[in-house]
Amino acid sequence: MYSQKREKIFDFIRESGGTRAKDIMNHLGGNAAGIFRHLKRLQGDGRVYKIGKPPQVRYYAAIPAEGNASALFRRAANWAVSGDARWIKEGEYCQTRDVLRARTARLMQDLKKIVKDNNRVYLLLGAVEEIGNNSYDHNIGQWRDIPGVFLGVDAVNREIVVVDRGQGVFATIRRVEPEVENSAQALRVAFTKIISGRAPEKRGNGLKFVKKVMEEYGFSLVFFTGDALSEIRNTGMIIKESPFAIPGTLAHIIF
Amino acid sequence: MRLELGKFGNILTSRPAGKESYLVAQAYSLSKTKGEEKIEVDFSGVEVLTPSWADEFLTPLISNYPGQVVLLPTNNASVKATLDILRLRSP
Repeated sequence: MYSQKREKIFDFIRESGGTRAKDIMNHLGGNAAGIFRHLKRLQGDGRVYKIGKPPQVRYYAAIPAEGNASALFRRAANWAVSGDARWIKEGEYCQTRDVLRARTARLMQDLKKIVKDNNRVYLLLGAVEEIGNNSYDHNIGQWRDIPGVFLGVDAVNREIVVVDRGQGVFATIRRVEPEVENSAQALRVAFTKIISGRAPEKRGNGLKFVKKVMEEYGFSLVFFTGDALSEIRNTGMIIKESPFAIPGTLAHIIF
Repeated sequence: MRLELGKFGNILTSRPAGKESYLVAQAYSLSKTKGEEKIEVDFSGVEVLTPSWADEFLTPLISNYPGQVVLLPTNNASVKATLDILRLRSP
């Protein structure tokens, strides 16, 4: 049933780029029970999702990249598609994994000031490192053009992006699972099956770890490759068609 | 003997780093083990551990010293999640 109040709540969430229930109440008025009832309905409809654990829960609009994309995400997506240096700020480009590692170490100190539970910082950076190192593992010597990854962080909006211009997950997985037909199937294999894209080497745990961290600790990941994306949250993993094509990979984490 | 993983760094990530660390451990620490001596792995000082690093260090350690490796308890969530993914267990 249409509810004007619910639509106002949704619009506020979407325009704020992520907000708390308290901010919704302050902005729109109404009592807590009513607000949470509308939030529950919006989540049930798949239009809103939440990140974090009480009392740090924030609500986000589940909208594809266009229109409501954050500034960081827009830069990441544009770099993923074009590789143009205008989209990267100083310090974000990590040509080798040593540079990525140095940035992660600095990032840890910054995140400890924002995220009050150190264990959540360690898990988050573990996921970032696994995604980033995956890019080097599968693309060294095989980059489309620019080697390395773009690691971008927006501490205010609590977002991290890890982007590469490598082969993409489909090309990697297809080498070892020839029956995989597209990027969507490749994503499912990458995140759920212990399989090595660098066979005959025995590997394949990294993205399973990333999925576990996202699902169990209140983070959100949207992982783009080719014409597909994988959304992983506390409710599980959904694979969908992507609104735009990413030649390599783009990971967008909200914490 | 005790292997203190914190001495390899506080952020233990990437396969090349794990592999290199195990090679050094083999050359300088593990060569001193006597017979069936227990090898305790101490995670103190480790802040971030990922499966990539752990698979290059703990997996060959456990394989090369069957029945001797003891993973000491830890409260670090990334260590626990990594051990869970690799199906290794602390007591």
